[in-house]
Amino acid sequence: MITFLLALIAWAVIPFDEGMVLSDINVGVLYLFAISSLGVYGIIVSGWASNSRYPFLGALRSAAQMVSYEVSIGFVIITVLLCVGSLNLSDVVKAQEGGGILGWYFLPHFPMFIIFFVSILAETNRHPFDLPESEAELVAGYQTEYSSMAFALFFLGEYMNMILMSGICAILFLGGWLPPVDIAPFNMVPGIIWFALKVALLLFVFIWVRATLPRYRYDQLMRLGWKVFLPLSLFWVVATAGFLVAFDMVP
Amino acid sequence: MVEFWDQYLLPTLIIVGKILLIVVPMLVAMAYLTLYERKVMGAMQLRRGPNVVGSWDFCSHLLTGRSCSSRKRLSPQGLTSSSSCLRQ
Repeated sequence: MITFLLALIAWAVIPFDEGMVLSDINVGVLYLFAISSLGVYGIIVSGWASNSRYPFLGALRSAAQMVSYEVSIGFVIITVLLCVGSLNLSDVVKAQEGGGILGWYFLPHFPMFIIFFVSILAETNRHPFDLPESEAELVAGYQTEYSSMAFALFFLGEYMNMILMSGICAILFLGGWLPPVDIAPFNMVPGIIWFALKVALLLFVFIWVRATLPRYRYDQLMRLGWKVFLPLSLFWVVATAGFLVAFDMVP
Repeated sequence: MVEFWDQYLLPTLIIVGKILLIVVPMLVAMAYLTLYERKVMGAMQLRRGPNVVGSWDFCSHLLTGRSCSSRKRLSPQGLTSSSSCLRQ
């Protein structure tokens, strides 16, 4: 229930189109980051409250996994924010305006885009990082003891989280509601359709990854998070900041 | 009364309406996402099944959801009252 509600309330700050946002707060990115961090509590509480070993182990795994990948997500977001100069999500999209697809942040920050995508796979406990619910070792992880509507809420929460994270990724890197080329037939399509198409594209990659890759081992997962993604994203933050200062492009 | 309506009730209703305008399409999108996942994975792994059923598949998804919500809620033994509250 907590997981599901948290995934829903985060939609309040997502801009679907120019001005189409429930509350256009100036700390939108920070709000999203805080809400997605709270998602850990839903899972760890559910695992603990099941009063059984496997769910508890699954919940602990899930907590450790989500916390470690949140660090690199944070650094990736900081990189984007350095280029934008604002925490407002509408401003993030507006900063990518002009130049069509070439102006979007996934080109200059391509490694960050990949890191962000892999991190949100881990953050939403999807394949190949679905260790919290690995059937072979942990039966089903934190949701072993849940049935009927309580289970359905976990299921719905996971899928809501997928859509939400794809939405965040589309806003930060794929230019939100902006059309890929700013000429006649494309910029007549309403922005919400472009946003939905970008989210659908990212969700397709989510499913593609699930259909293709085998599951990671837990130590490999931790190694990837702490020894590869964290130093790389930290370096990229410093490099971006240095570039912006050196060429006097700070927004 | 008119003042109360203008200053409190109407803005509240508008905000609640906006929230519903976001939440309901999101829930529908999520329902279709489960179908989308099934279709894409079926196509990628060349499985017959999801490809054969066609668009009636969505009805079976709704039925799964209905049977999920009508089934009995099970609860493990030895829960304290505080931890069973957290299970909601």
